[in-house]
Amino acid sequence: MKIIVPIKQVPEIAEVKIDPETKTLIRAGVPSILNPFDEFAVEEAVRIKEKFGEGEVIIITMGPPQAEEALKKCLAMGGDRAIHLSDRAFAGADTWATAYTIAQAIKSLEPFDLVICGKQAIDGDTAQVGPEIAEILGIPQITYALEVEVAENKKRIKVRKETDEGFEVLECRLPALLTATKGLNEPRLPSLMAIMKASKKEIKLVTADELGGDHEQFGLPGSPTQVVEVFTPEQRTGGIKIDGTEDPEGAAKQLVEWLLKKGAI
Amino acid sequence: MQTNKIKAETITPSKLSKIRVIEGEETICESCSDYLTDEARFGDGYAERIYYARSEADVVAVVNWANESKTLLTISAGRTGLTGGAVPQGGILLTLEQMDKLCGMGFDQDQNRWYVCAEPGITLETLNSAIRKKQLDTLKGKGTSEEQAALEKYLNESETYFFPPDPTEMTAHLGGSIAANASGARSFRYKAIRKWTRRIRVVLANGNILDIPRGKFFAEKGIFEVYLTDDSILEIKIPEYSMPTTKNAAGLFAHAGMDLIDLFIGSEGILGVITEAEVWLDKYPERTLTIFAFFPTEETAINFVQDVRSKHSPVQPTLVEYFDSNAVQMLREARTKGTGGVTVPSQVEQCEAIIFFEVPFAEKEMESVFMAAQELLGNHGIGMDDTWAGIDPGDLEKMKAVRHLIPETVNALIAQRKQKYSRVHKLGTDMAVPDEHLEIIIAYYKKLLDEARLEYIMFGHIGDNHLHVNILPRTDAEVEQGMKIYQQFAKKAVELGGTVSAEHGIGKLKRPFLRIMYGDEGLKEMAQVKHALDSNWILNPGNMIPKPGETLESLDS
Ligand SMILES: Cc1cc2nc3c(=O)[nH]c(=O)nc-3n(C[C@H](O)[C@H](O)[C@H](O)COP(=O)(O)OP(=O)(O)OC[C@H]3O[C@@H](n4cnc5c(N)ncnc54)[C@H](O)[C@@H]3O)c2cc1C
Repeated sequence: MKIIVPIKQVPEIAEVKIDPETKTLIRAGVPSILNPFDEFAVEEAVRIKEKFGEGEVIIITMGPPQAEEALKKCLAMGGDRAIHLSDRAFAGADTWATAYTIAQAIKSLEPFDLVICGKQAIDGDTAQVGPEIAEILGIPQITYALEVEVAENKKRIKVRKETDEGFEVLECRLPALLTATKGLNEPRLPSLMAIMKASKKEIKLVTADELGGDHEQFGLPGSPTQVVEVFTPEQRTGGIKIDGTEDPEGAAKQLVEWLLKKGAI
Repeated sequence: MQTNKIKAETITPSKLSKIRVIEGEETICESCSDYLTDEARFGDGYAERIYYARSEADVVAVVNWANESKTLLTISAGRTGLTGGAVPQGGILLTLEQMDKLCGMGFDQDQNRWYVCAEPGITLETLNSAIRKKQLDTLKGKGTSEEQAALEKYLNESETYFFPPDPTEMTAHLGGSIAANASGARSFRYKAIRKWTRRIRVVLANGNILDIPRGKFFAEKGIFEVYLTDDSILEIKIPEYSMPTTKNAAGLFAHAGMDLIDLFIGSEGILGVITEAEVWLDKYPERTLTIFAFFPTEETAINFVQDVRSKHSPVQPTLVEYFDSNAVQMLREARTKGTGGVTVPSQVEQCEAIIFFEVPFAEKEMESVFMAAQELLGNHGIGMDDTWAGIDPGDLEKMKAVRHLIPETVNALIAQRKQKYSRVHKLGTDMAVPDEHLEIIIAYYKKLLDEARLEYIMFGHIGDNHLHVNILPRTDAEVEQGMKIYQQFAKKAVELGGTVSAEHGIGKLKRPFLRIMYGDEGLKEMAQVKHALDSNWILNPGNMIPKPGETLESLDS
């Protein structure tokens, strides 16, 4: 099976601060890590490959030169090779332009069986790139995967996915795209051996020209969305606190009255 | 020119009334109780006034007033100390937290190293962040033209630098850390803060100031002479006890022919108030390889330590840490019970001991460093797959979380037991011995604890033979039993040429242990130094040595 995992390098969230002037993340000096949800994606891809005892796991990222670090980490986790889309032309991409660019790279790897993304990158938290890639490629998608089972004939996949209400079990044909969420697996910790091996694996650098596709769709010019303003939402006010330790019945009554007054019930 | 004579200076003190103060024992107790304790949670602190110094002139004003009125004065910094050193016992509390600025930057030609000058109240975190990220705008336009040129040059350097001592609690202040001679996470390589201190300014109890650069004032025949501004001469006689050769020995530093700066470093504020310090910087390693190696037995792990820390080792680690079989068992249980998001490696299921070490390297050396680590581990039967290795910041964070899980689990366990047995608390040792006695001390710890059937874990800085034994009493009776054993450990460590406190200092809580180490004679010699510099005994009374008239609770009773 050929499994493709698009990943992103993100700032270590615990350390990021927002610039009060520009309202953007201050990234200088903040360590960068592999997006934690992408770790589940890489792990699942490697497990599927190991289960069938054959196949290839290809890692893709679009990002600045230092994103190579995150690719190396994925290779240490068992990825076979990596593609690094890096070009000034890709800079400033929104989710659509990012998905478009990555989809071009995935197309160049056709035929493939499975694409696994992390459910979202923890810096933007949009959860859009995975589904958009599936749309562009015209393949089925199952998001928030918690359990994945590839059929023996490698033609279909059964996935238990998380929903707001609980779970759904879905089945679809391959090729398809999944997004991985926490709980899908326990990502492996790289050993000395794994890191050594990873340092010898191929990371192919691909520029916009080499990638092909419609260049108008790359980067900032290809991004239909624009950030107009970033602001901290106002704190919600207006809640009340009813203490029910002394007189629970009276408190319940008070609550019902208040809810009625607000038109909530 | 070396000399044992140093001339004190004076400055015009601030007006006492201009310094921010909070008065009244009750007010302080109600609104500023944070100042009355430190991380040792040493409980019975109280003070009549809290002064917030903003400058050296403020410090002089407060010290002068305290000295004239013979009022006790306790110096307060980040309050991360673990021995109650910054906890006041009446009198004045002088906090230096508002003296938190960088003062200058320079290049030391002789040492070929950068250094930075700062006020004592700067936190190590702020200091390091400014240095590493080269965010030094506050220094622009300040100081001499030479300092300005140095700053310019530093800002244009492509290398990253840092201040290595890291007592893991990064809210610790520079001044507090120098006063405690703190060491920390990577002290196996970088040693304690003493080695990194280039110059300090100290306000003495009489309000005079000593400016002490390293390498200028050395004791002659065991004596320093301080020329005070009132033309009197103070004679300081260096204690004659011999200090342990471990990474950091507690008590006043004493050595024939020693540098005066070393007397003040680690003196826990009993000799003066540090108001400014220059510290050297080091190159920040390009990359770091961190390895958790899983060993089948404690013995194999300890054998590995002997190799990896030797001078001939092909890898030169910055830290070498140990988890004994009980600590591993604790991790194993955490793995089954859930760890609140901490990744515990699956290898804990099969191993009996873990060694955790860190090797800095430059990008181009990666292959050779990996090969060396592989060979060394291989010599001890550890395959490259029996490791968890990280070079990625994400992995390093995960590893750090595993290390923190141990003390956190211990604290939770103790809190739980305390509900049933009120006297239960953790008994954590801080002793270290010379290299050649590592196996002996570990065997001794285990023998006594196993015979007493006490629950315990052992973990920590094995590279420096500095293990934290945590005794975990299950009942009040076991607390008693544990205390006795603790004392036996202290005596044994001293007998082996070690120290009773390798990183936490003495403060108010560990004084009986200092006596085990240096005896009454040693304490008396320290008291003489104290008396020479602070005849009214106002500065940090009760730290390190007993106050006049105070007797130490005997440990033998
Ligand atoms: C979780 C934790 C882990 C720790 N790990 C380590 C470790 O690994 N290694 C280690 O060495 N320490 C460690 N410590 C102890 C502590 O962090 C250090 O001792 C610390 O450097 C003290 O700094 P502080 O600013 O908090 O000083 P404080 O606790 O405020 O004061 C320490 C002592 O210095 C005196 N003092 C403070 N400022 C001055 C001054 N300007 N002039 C004269 N005297 C002064 C105080 O009166 C007091 O006696 C740890 C502490 C915690 C809570």
